[in-house]
This record gives sequence, C-alpha cells and structure tokens, in this order.
Amino acid sequence: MKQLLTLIAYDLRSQLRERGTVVLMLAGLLLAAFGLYEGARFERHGREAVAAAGAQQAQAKTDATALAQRYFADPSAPEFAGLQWYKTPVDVRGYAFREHVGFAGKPAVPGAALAIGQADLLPAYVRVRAESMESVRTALEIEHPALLAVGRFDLMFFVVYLWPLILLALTTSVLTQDRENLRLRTLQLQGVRLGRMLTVQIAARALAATALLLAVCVVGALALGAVSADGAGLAALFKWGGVVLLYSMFWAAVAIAICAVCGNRMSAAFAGFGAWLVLAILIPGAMTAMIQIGAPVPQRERYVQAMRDAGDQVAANKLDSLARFYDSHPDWRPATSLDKVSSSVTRLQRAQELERVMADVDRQFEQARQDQQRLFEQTLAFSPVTLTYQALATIAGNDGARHQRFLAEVQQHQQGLRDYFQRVIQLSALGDERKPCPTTCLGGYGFRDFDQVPTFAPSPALAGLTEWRQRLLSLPLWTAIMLALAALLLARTVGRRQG
Amino acid sequence: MQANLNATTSTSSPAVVERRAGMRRWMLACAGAWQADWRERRRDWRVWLVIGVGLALAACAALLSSLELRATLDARADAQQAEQQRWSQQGKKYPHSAAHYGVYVFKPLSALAALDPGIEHYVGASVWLEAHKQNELVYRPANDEPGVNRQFRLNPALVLQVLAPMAMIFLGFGMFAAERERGTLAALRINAAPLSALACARGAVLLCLAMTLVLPACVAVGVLEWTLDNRSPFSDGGLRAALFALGYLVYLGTWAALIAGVSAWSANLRTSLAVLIGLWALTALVIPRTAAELAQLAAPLPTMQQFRAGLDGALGMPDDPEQAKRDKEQLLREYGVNDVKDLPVNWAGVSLQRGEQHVAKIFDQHYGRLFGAMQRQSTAAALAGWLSPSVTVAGLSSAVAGSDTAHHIQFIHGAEQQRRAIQQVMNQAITEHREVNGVRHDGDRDLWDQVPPFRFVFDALDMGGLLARHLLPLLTLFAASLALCAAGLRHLRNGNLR
Repeated sequence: MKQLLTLIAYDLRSQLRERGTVVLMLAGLLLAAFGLYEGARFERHGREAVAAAGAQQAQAKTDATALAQRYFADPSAPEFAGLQWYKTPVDVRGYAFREHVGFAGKPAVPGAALAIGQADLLPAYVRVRAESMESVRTALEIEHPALLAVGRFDLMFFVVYLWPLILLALTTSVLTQDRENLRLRTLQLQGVRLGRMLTVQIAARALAATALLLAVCVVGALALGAVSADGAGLAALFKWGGVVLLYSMFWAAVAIAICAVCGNRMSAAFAGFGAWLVLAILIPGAMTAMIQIGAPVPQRERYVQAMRDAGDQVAANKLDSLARFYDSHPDWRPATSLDKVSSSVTRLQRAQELERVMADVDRQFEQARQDQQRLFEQTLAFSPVTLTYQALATIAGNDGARHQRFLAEVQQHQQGLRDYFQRVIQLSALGDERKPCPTTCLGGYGFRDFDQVPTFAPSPALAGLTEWRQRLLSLPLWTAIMLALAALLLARTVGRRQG
Repeated sequence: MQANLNATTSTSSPAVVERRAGMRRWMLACAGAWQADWRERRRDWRVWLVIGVGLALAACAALLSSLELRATLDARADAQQAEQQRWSQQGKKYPHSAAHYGVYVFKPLSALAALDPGIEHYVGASVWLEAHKQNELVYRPANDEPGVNRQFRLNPALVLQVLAPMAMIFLGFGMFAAERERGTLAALRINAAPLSALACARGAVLLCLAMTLVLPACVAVGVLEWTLDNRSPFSDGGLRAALFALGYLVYLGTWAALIAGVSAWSANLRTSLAVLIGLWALTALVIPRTAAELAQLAAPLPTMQQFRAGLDGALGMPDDPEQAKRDKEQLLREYGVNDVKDLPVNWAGVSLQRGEQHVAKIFDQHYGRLFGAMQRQSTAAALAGWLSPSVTVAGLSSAVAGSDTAHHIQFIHGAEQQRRAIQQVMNQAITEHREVNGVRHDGDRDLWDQVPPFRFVFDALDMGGLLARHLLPLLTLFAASLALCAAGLRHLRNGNLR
C-alpha cells in the first residue's frame, strides 16, 4: 500500500512537471469556464424572457382594467368612437380571441446553467390562448437555426465530449511509458503488481484532474451567479459533480483497458481516440439511426393535411355539432335558430369540435412520440455517453420529459381557460339576446372581470427534476465491465509477453 | 497502432533517378511512391478496418438520409397537391372568406439536402398563408425527436466533415513521422527521392482512401436526382452539385496536406498523432460551436415574447387616418362621386387591400429586422471559417444544398409573396363586384384558379457572397496547409531527420 501511495505521489508530481499536461489542463479548464459562462448567459436570458412575459401579462391586465373602467363609465366618450368589438378587451369576444395575454412559464431549476440540454429547442414559456393548444404546441423561442443545428457550447458539451479526450490524453501514458522505457521490469521486481499499479495510477490521475475541474466549475458557477449559493444550488452542484465524477471514472476505466493492452504510448493514444470515437460519436449516431428506423414519427405534413380535412369536416357539420353542444348545455341554448348564432359565439365550440375530430390523429402522433421515447429509454443503457448527456440535462431541468410535464400542466390550464371563456361568452350571448345593445355593454358582451380569468400556476412538482438516478445505474456497470475487460486483457498481455 | 508506417518506399534505383532530371524524375518518383504506398496499404488490415467501418457508416448515413428525404419530399408533394386541390374546390364563398380559409405551402428540398440537411431539422417546413397575418413556419422535426438527436446525428455531412478527416488522421499520421522515428528517412534521402513527390503521392493515396467514404453519398444523390422527376428547387442545380463536390475535395485535400505537414514536422509518431487529434478536436468540435455562440454577440436576437409584443403592438396601431382619408378622397375624385356608396367599385375591397398593404409594411419592418440580425450572425459565424476548414465547408455545403439559414429566409419571403398575391387577387375580386341589395358577391373556382399555384425556386447562388464567406477561407486554408506541408518537407530536407 505504501509503495502504491509513493508511486501515486511520484506520478502526480511528475505529471505536474510536464509542460504538456499543464497546458492541456489549463486549456481544458478554460473551455469548461467558457461553457459554464455560455450556459449561465443562456439561463439568464431565458429567465429574463419568462419574467418579461409575466410582466407583459400583468401590464395587459392592468391596461384592460383601466380601459374597462373608462369605457363602462362613459361608453359614448369620443375615445371609444371607433371601438371595434373584436379588437377590444372590454368585449369578451375581443378579449378571449385577441386581446387576452396569458403566458405559462416553466419554473426555474437551480442547476439550469450547468447544461442547456434541450432548452434551446423547447421554450421556457408559451403563450396560452383560449381557443386551442396550437399556440403551445408550435411555440418556440427565437434562436438562430444554425446554432441549433451545430449545438451549444455549454458545460455539458465540454464534460460529455471534450473532457474524455483530455482524460485519455492524461492517462494513456500509464504503464505504456514504463513499457517503452523498460522501467516496468524494475517496478515488478520491487513487488508492484501491474494491475494494481495501472488501476491506481490512472484512477489517481483521473481523480486529481476531475477534482480540479469540479473545483473550478463549482467556484466559477457560484462566482458567476450561475447557481445560487443556497441549499438548492449547492445540491444541484453536488448532483452535477457526482455525475461528472462517475463519468470520469468510466473514462478512466476505458483508459485502464487501453493501457492494459497497448505496448506503447502511441498505440494507446491511437486506441484511446478510437474508443472515444466509437463511444462518443458512433454509438449515439447508431442509436439515432436505430430509433429513426425502429419508431418512425409520421410526417408532419400528414398532420397538416389531417388538420385541414378536420377543419373542412367541422365547417360542413357546423349545425349538427352545434346542436349537440347545446343539447349538452341546455342552459346556454339561444332562443334563435342555431344557424343565426354568431360565429364569434360558437368559435370555442368549433375549436372543441376540431379537437374531437383530430383526436385520433393526435393520439397517433403522440403514440409515435411515446414509442420513440420508449425505444430511446430502452437503448439508453447501451451508450454511456448518451446516459451522461441525459443525466446532466435532467439535473439542469432542461430535458424533454420535464417539458412534456410542463405541456401537460399547460394543457390543463388551457382547458380551464377555455371553459371559463366559453361560459362567459355563452352567458353574454344570452344576455345580448335578451337585451341587445348597439355597442358593447355590461349584461351583454361587456367584460371587466379580468381578475377572474384563470392564470397559469405551475404545480410544485414541476419545479422538481425528472427521475434520473435509476437510469444512471448502468454507468457504474459500464465502468465495471471496462475494468473486467482490462483485467482480462492485462492477464492475456502479460501471459503473452512472459510466454 | 498506426495504420501505415511507410517504412520502405520503392522508388527507381538511385542510378536511374540521378539520370532523369527535373519534372520527369519527380513524376517517376511520385508514381513509384504512389505504387509502393498503395501496395503497402492494400496489405494492411488496419487500413481495411478503418475504411470498412467508415464505408459502412457512410453507406448507412447516405441510405438513411436519402430515405428520409424521399419520404419527406413525397409527403410534401402530396400535401401541396392536396392543398392546391382544396383551394380550387373550396366552393362558392365570399373572396375574403377564402382569403381566411387560406392555403398551406411547404418548403421544397433538394437532393443535396440529403447529404447536408443543415438547419432543416430545426426549422418548420409548412406555413399557413391567410389574410392579415404572416404566420410562422411550424412543426420543426427536431421537436418530435428524443434528446439523443441533439448529439451527433448520423448523416453524410457528419461523415464527410467530421469522420472522414478522422479516418485520414488514423491512416496518415505516420506518413513521415514513422520513418523519422525509426530512422529510415535518412536512407530514403540517400536514394535522392524528392520528398515533395513522396508527400504528393502519399497525400494522394490518403485522399483517394478518404474519397471512398464519399462514394455512398454520390450514389445516394445520384439516385435521388434520378427519381425526383424534375422537382429540383434550384435553377442552377448543376453548378451547386459541382461546388459541393469541389468544396469537399478541397476540404479533404486540406486535411491530406495538413496531415502530411504535421507528420513531417513531428519528431515521432506520438507527437504527430497528438497534434493531429488536437487540431481535429479544435477545428471540428470546438470552433464550430464557439463561433456559433460568439456570433450571437454580433447581433443579439429578440426573445419571441419581445418580438411578438412589438409586432402585435404595431399591428394594433391603426393605419395613418389622414393618409386613409386622402386616399379615399382621391378615389372619390377619380370616379367623380361624393360618397363611397356611389363608387362603381366596392369600397370594402379597396379598404381590405389598403389594410393588407399596411400590415405588409409592418411585417417587412419587423421580420426584416429579425432576419437581418440572423444574417449578421451568420456572417459573423462564417468568420471562424478562416480558422477552421470544418466551419467553412459546413457553411459552403449547406449553402449550396439550400439548407442554410439564408435559403430558409428566401423561402419565408417566397411564401409571404404568395400570401400577398392571394390577398391581392381576392381583394381585387371584391373591389370589382359591388354589393347588390346588401348581398355580397361570391367567388368560385374561376376566381380561385386565378391565384398562380405556389412553385418555389431558390435564387441562383450569389457567387460573390459564397466566394467571400466560404470559398476564399477554404482555399486559403488549403494553401496554408500546402505551405505547412512544404515547410515540413523543407524541415526534413534540411537534415532534421530525427
């Protein structure tokens, strides 16, 4: 044990003296800092956008309230001379379909700056309209498409792709250098066992480098304000650090397997780069291809066509569906014949009918998405790189599953919003029928209950993370497989050399 | 283990080489080196392994991409045809109702987009053209895919831009470094073999091996072109294909020269491999993403909330009432009447068209600013092409494939022009038919068919812009790699054999 500790101390000291190692580490830390900065910038930008959306919603409500006060105090005032019902919040139809400003924002997660993940693709806030979920489903944040295509340079990119290259460069000289300069025999004569020496030396180098990376990133994140210096922030950093450590140990195990079999540093470097290529690029690429073939999503053009067909069908069966609607809501049935009911009064009913007709198609697309996600989850264990990528994105709260939970809550809210407006519009129509007003009036379509309009409030569960620990269990398993492979290869190599 | 150590290189015997001077001697040496290198590589199982794996990947990528493109194109063609039919057969209705009924149009794709999908997965491909609104393109394919697709997506562009240089590094890092390390370079120099001829021959062999990875992509694009039935969205498809091929040839040539140069400069194999891997990681992984991130500083984009709030605010503002009044008076004067009711034309149509022109100005202003900022970001990101051949070839290939941001914006403009054309035809029809006894005139198929079908063709390539942004940096980097290679050879020639 003492021998090994001495060896580790000597090895780490000699690594520190090597200019190449120091330069490589410095370059790596600089890139990590840049990634962290970019992640923090993106997260701040997103947070500001959510806040601005909230402010716009509040301002719109204040303005509408003030306008309603003025209007209902004196509807004949000159400022309301050209008032058009469909363009004003004081008319419930104009408010519901045009003037209502409602946003739903995803609550922030303490470690969001540590990985951008899917956040540049899946918006942090969406505009919710009473009429349909279309504005939510097609919502996006403005990003340069080329930036989305190339991918972000964040801390996750550094950790997942560049950090393994640095670790491999730092560790592939273990044993191979000793073999090259014939020092190995001397060490063996001193009673050092090859396997143990290989493992502890690589583990020590990888641990030292990872500790340095973690220290720099944690200090940087706290100093930049990327992660708040409270319990939640520190917990996020702790989780992130744990995943990075596990991932580093996996790559250390890869390096151990490589150094066990390679005779010199050059072939170890070659094999290391090859392993990185296979694990970081080829396996995830193959997974993408497999998922694409195994669970194809129908073309969206088909969805557009289905939507258009459904729209035509709803328009053609307008009166039938309207009759069904009033049959189920007899309190709202107007005295006039249904073909005389204004289209602005039946607009939400038509939207509901469209959803009903589209339900099968929506289910088909949702099923395809779920199949794809299921296949992805099933194959995830086969790619340690993708596993880590997903775990880091999940810790940052920027994964697809959390966004789906967000959308589910938004959908619930949207249904509540639509039901609210449906009721108010139908009652207003009845009021207007009983006592028609030449201009918008209270008792008719006049509207001033802006405080009653439902607003989005995320559930506490949405502030939590998607389950990620269980998935990550296969990463230590991968590490164990690599170590077992290394033991096997080392035994074979030693046997061959001795033979 | 390096794939090829090039330990021996058969050239003509020294006596023969000495007799033949100048070009002939050089050519012979080059041909000899080519034969020797080719023979050696043919016998090396590691070369077969690298090429075999690379070829399998390239074939998979080409097959998947072309099948996906084919399915997308078929779906878009069907949808476009159905939309055209739907528009024509919408029955009798008021033209403004038809304008609100609208029509969907779909973005066309070229066969080259199968090789380099560029931004296609990250932008919507269909847009609804309706009255009063310039809608966004919706349904980005990336939103329908699981997270793994944000990693490296297997397509021919990835193979050519990222994997092919890596295969070349695997196959060529020992080009001169191996001989230096083993001390056999001195023997080669005694043979008076021109090092430039050796470098040229070995670089050419490397390039040829890398080109095998291009073959599946060529086959895929050929088959796609053959089956596309003249549906290309380009008027200059031939030029684009030639530029695409030339771009990748120069790109791979740049890597061949770079590998030869680094190998010649490096004292041993390990250094050569380390430097080349470092260069590859820097140019293919770090610089493209860094450039895209930093380009945001050149022209920050608004958030969607800011953009929509600004646009909605502007759209909510009424048109200049004074101008509206002046226009109305002018129209009344033109027809010599005092009231719109007495006009021989329908004032509603005139008013609707005025409204369309008003919102069109607002859309042009707001989207113009947004797209201008995007273009400035693209230009800023392209500057990184002077440092990284991967950035410049990626920019060039997506530009000629029509899958870059500029082409996407072109399509958005094209779709918006079609929307405005529809509105004009509909509003003209309303203008020409006055209401009779309060009954509005309905349009029918004759009117709907007056709207020309949407057949979008991208503009011809802007060669000046392409040259400045992509070709010049690529050629400069190629020249720099050749210069590095020449300097490396001079370094060897001056006796730095160890």
